[in-house]
Amino acid sequence: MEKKKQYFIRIMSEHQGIIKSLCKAYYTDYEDQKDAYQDIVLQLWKSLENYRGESAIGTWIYRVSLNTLLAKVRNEKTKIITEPLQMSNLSTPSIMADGDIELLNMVLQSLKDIDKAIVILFLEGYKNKEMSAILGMSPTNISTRLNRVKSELKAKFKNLNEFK
Amino acid sequence: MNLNNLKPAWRQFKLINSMDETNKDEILALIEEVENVPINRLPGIVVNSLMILVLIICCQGG
Repeated sequence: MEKKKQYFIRIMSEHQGIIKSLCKAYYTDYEDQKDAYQDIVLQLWKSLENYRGESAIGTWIYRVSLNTLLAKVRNEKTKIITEPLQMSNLSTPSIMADGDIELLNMVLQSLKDIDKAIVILFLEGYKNKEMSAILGMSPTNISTRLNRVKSELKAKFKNLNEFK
Repeated sequence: MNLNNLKPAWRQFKLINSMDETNKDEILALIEEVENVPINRLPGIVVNSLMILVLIICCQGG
């Protein structure tokens, strides 16, 4: 097998957690997730030649993956409709646990596509300037959107202790 | 509201999703499929040639 392919497969193995998490954040249906995963893998393969190592490999993967997902979601006619949050569901004791993935999913599913990308990058620990480079938006725009999202989440999840 | 509280959940979520065995054959099949797609440049070359031909014919002085 070519060295390039071996290298690519190693990257995919090491970072599949990021890619699959992003697919699950944007799609709830398994087939859609699989489709999105394949699209991202193809896009990463096509973009590999242009990766010069100027940023961390994880950052490059986030950039390509998120932009592929945002373009895909934008182009789809039958876009995933984010279901409105049911406040009654939020009071379930199981999601009150600290670091609960169910709560994370609930928060992500309540967000618009671009806001979701910003929140994911925030959770990953990126600064506004880095997010702007990844998403091709101005740092001011990122900051404004992030603050708005925080306010919206505060209002939506006001019954949960974690968000007080 | 503190989004920072969700950072451990995101790390956990990634960790869970990284546990699946990577299907190397599937990835290989995907990237090889792209490599094997023949790039058909013929229609583009024909159209461009025709346009140049028309330009040459129409733009001749005299």
